[in-house]
Amino acid sequence: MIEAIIALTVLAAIFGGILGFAAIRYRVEGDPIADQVEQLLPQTQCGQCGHPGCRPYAEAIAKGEAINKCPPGGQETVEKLADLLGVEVPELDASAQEKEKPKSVAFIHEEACIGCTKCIQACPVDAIVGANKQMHTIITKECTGCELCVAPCPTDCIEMRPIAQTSRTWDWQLNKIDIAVIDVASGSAKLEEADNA
Amino acid sequence: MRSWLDKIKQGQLWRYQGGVHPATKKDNIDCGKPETLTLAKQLVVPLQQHIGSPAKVCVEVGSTVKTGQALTESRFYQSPPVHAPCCGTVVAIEARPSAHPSGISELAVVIEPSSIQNEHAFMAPLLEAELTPELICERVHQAGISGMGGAGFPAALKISPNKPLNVLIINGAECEPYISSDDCLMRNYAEPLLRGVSLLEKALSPKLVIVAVEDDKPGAIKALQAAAGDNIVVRAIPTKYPSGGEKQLVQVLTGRELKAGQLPIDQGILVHNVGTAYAVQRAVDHGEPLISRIVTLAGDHVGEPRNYWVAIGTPVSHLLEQQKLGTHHQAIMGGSMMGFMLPNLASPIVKTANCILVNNTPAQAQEQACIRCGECAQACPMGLLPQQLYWYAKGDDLEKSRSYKLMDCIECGACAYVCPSAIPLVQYYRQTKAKVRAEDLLAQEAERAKQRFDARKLRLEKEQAERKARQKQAAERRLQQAQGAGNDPVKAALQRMQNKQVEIKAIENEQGELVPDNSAAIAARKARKAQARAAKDAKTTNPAVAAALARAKAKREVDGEQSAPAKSANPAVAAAIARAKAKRNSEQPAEAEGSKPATSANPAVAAAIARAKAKKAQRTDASQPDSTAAKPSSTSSNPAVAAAIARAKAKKQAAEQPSANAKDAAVAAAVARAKAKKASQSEQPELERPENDASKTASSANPAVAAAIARAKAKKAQAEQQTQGENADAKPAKSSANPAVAAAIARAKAKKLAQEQQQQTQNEHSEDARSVSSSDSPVEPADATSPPKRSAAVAKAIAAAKAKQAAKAASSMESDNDE
Repeated sequence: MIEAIIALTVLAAIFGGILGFAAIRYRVEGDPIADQVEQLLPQTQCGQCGHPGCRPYAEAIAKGEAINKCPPGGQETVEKLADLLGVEVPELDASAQEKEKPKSVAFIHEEACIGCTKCIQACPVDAIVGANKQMHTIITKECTGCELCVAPCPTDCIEMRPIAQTSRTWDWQLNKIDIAVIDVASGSAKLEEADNA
Repeated sequence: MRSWLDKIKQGQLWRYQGGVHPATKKDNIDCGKPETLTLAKQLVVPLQQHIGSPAKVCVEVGSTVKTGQALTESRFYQSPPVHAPCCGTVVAIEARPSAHPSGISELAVVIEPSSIQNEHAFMAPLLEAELTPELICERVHQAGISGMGGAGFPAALKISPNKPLNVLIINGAECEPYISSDDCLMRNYAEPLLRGVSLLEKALSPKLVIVAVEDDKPGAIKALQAAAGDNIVVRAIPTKYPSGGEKQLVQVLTGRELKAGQLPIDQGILVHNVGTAYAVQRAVDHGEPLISRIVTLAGDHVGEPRNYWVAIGTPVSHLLEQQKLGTHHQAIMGGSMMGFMLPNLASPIVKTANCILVNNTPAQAQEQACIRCGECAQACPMGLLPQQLYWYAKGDDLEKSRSYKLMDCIECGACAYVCPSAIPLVQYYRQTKAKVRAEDLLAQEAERAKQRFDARKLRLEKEQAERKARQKQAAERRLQQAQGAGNDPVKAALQRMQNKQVEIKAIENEQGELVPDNSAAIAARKARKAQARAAKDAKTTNPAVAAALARAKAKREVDGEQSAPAKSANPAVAAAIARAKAKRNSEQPAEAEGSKPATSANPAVAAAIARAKAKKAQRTDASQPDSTAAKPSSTSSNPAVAAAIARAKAKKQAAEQPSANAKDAAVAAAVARAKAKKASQSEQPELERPENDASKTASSANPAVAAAIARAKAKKAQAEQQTQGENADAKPAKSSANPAVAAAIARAKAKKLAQEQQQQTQNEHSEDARSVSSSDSPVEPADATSPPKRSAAVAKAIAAAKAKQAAKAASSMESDNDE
């Protein structure tokens, strides 16, 4: 009887010690879920989700916030997040859905730029070059298309321009190639018919 | 046991899994000496004809180029330059349809060939003795050579020696149906080709060089074997598609299978196309850059399928014209297995274009469901599972596609070729591959954006920390100073000032704070102001006018209190006046003891105030008929009221100036005449109006107008005289009893006005500013607000004169009353 108690106590002490050691030694810093979520977010740092950047939104998602608030990521990101978190796939937020548009980058109409540096302060990824009273310009390669620079511009000289498709980024949608057969004569004939009808 | 290299040397061949045997269709293609194609009307040289990034354009629109002149330049091997294929003029550097299945326009240099093609700008040939690997490498780059087999990998990048090389393979397999450009090259240019191979050998120093040719090209094999020396092995390999693929060829010749994502160089093997070897020879021995290539023109519609030397940049349509093929045909660039339909026949021949096919558009076989027969898996030379990839492609499952190594697919088309359901498998793979690439790109961009965001956050935090540290430091310094010196830094500053022998009297204000006593400065300002006023008075050319002004001022000062309530009746007006005053004050620093509006120097503000005045004047106009109707009787008895009316008039005039100024002299004159006429017919209540209007038009400073005004004045004066006579009930006898006197007064007035007008015109420059400062009483505030225009200044002076005149009239009436 007494031997059994001693044996169990000793075992409990040993395993408790091991567990305690492991808890300290192999402690996971931060929230691993937040990290994984952040990996899936598009990192535009646009704040359209209502959080000041992608990391804060990732942390909020890890704490149970809705996963459908990321317009730059679109429905694809929502699906990936749902897959990761094992939840139902919600539709992209209605307000965000309106904002879903082709990937664009900012463009500064340089002749209208007065060099106020307001857009530079707004840019979350330092993709705008310029100095006080000097014309600014966008580093197109670094621009994430977050549109945060558009609103602060006092002269409204920043516009969002969709990124043109090149032969290298072409999606091989052969049936999408615009084949325009323009026949002026027949076109006008058609119009006339329509008028008669 | 024989070593690996010995086995290869002795002719051992290996097999690779999969592959197909499509009809080669090369028998009827003429592989004789290729004809050089005539130059097209325009050559379109795309900047990018290779994998990598385009080089920088170094020609301008309109510049003349010689054959072989570089159009772009770059010192990076991943950006080989492009060259002018002929003598001519650069007519455009713009986006043109590219030789790509998408047909998306890409930047290209458009050259119009000149009629005489006798000049070239080739580089100097390199001498055998001075050849070094680096030199060859550099020359290959300068010549703009990129892989001519199809992928277009920059050749210089491939031959820059960095890893030990065992086997150099020269790829002459040319396995795709129809294509025979390499065959043609090997047959007709075997010697220079092999010279190119030996140059590559020199650059790379491999242990073994093999030229591989499929055994269905006996002519090429014979020619090569005849020209080849001992160190170059010409090897015939079994005909099978796609043996010409880099990985398949490596496997066939060396038995080494490349792992996923591995390059042949990782195994000590390098593969170059025969076309590349020939181009290297041209570049080194002749200094000729890559400006033309052999292109096979074949297909069902081509009467005489054959090869041509085609200048790079020649539109495909020009090539088709050689065989009387119109633009209604659809052309395929590349072979029937891997080629693509050109969306636009204006697309140019580029460095990688080996064949143009003009075939019957095949009746598109209906795509049917996959029956899981597994034929494709047996045909796949890469050992992939095409049917699985097909499912994942259809389901858009990029993750699974990746794990089934979709990216290792070489898009050879063998699977689609054997598919009994006629599924265009390669098309699915290409789309999915594009999606995967896009996803990768996004991931890369996201990673970079995150890095930049984090870096920015760090920077901002650092900056803020620094700022805080600075502030803290400054606070500490202040504290230290206060403690160290034992007194307040403000007091110390005062002390320093005193030490400078500047007398600063500090007085205590209500709050008990020490403020500097600037009463002395105020006194000095007042003195300056008085001086300025005196100087102005002295400058007034007409002493009579000056005296009259002085009198008027004196009067105004007397009437000051009475006019104030009248003004305050309209708060908006009062406010406008206040603004005007403030503005005037700011223009006169001597008087600026009160609050100084910062906007005083702003013409826009002045204009706004002027507008406000005009509005106010309109209101005054509306109210005037009644008031003036009621007034005349009282005016005669109350000089103060008369003065007030005079002031109002002056104000109104000044307010009306801006619009009056705009009118030109002729219009002003016409208006003046009309006014004068009206004035003659005017009723009693309107007695003051003509005068105002006439004086307003006087501002145009036109002698004719002035005369008209003078006439009007005279008339008006008469009318006034009459009115006064009628209105002044108590004293009708004085004015009306003496019409002669009245007429005399009128004449005198008219004369004086004309005189004044002249004088003002003369003095307008000098009077301009002073008239503002002279009218420092609140009676004529509107004057100051007008922008400093000449006519405005004149008008102001006139307004002042009017006021004075009115005051005089009032005084005379006063005296009448006294009597």
